[in-house]
Amino acid sequence: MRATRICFQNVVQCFRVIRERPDTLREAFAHLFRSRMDYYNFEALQGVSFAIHDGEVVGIIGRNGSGKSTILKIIAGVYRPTSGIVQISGKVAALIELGAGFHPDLTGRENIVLNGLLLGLSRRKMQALEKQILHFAEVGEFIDSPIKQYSSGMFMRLGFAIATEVDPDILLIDEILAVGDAAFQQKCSARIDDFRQRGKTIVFVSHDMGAIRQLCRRVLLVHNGVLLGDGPADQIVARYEELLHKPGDTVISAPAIP
Amino acid sequence: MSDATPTLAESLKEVVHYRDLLYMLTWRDIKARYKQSMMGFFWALLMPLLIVGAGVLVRIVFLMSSGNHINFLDLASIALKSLPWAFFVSAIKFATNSLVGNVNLVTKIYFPREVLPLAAVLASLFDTAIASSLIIILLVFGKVGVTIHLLWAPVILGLIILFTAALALFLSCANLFFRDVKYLVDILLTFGIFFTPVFYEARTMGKWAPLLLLNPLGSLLEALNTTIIRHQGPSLPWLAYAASCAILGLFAAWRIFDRAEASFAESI
Repeated sequence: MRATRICFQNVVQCFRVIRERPDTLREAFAHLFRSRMDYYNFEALQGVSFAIHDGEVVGIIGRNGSGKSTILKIIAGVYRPTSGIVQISGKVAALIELGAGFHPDLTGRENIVLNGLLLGLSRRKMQALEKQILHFAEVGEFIDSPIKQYSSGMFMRLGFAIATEVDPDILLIDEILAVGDAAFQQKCSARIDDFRQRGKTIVFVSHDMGAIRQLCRRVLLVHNGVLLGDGPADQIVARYEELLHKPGDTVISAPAIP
Repeated sequence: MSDATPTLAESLKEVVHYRDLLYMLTWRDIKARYKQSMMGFFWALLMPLLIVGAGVLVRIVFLMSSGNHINFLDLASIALKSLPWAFFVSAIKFATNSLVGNVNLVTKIYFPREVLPLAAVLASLFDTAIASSLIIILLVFGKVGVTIHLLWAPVILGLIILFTAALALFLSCANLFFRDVKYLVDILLTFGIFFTPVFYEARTMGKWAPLLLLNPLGSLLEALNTTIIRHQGPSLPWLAYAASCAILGLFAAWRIFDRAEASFAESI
């Protein structure tokens, strides 16, 4: 039996959505004198359970607002779940949003170090990896320019190169591969395959069903914060496409206002 | 990993593990402050020296109007106390904004968020260290003299840093939830200099002196002055009081920060 890398048990993530949230002390003070706060709880995840093992490439699909990114952010440790148990073992590298963890005023080279440090690696380790990262990212002489001058494709190249070169046990990818050109996407696919062969775990969120079918054997389908399906890619993707064309469903799963 | 708040020891261990990140963010803060400015590192000297200058001017005016002679030791004392004050003001200002100013990091990646306010404190410490070298020269050439009591100075300075770090952690997270904390802090820092013995000594306030020393920063500055300029041992009860405020305050602030950290990403 392969080792479990990610384990969600009945995970609930609640966001308190406050209408006119008091975000100053003055307003908070005024709110003290009101009988109750004007908010409702939005359950972005309503009791989600699954386990992902070594060497699996798992796709997560679902409509906008279904909870896909929330799952990734919980795995990455950005959110702490409201209830339920989350167990993660190993080093996590996340490509959640374009340019996350980059500082616009620092150069590409400095940002390589910053990114690694944010993952908890040492400066020395990152400097040792610099050459390989540059080789993969192919950003050329831009590497010594401030990142704010980069195109989104360059951001993604550098981000992907860093996240994969630091050799994480778990790699999270959220939709960002789409900004790369065909040649680079192929390079990424090859690297993802290499990761799988070395027994690493990859969680991949995308709306591109072609990419999902190509990269993942197993797919999770999330809908309105509930796990609707977990199984072989073809089967789950077909189910998702059915769901997409079901009439009378809202595109964004906003909660009913009580 | 679980959804529970980490213990203080776990949290400290994690910050130690991320120490390279702390250095880099500190360095980034220092660089960002001076990179696109005409005067560069001169800015690091400007603020502390302005405070020293203002204090000296006020003192001279007071002494002249009361017909007393201007005493070098009085001026040295003001210069000495102005620096930790300048450090405190700049550290608290930068730290209060440190989480909100880094939304990109806080909402998108995981790392111990304590490093952001702590980096702001360290960057201000670096600034003040530059200005301090000038004051040390002043004290040496002014023949203030060296006694055994000077050994207290590192302890007192250490406590000032701990106390500042405690407030920095607390205020950075308060400002994340309530954005006007920043303005409140600005007001308190502006008027704080009147209620902290920086330009004067607490004993000149007579029976009100203990009230000034209740501010831990006040008793620490007073102790710094007593040991370096007046060559006496510090008031031990007040030093013990300030030390417990600084250390217990840091524990409490760290704990509050860890508890609040769970909702940083969604509340920012």
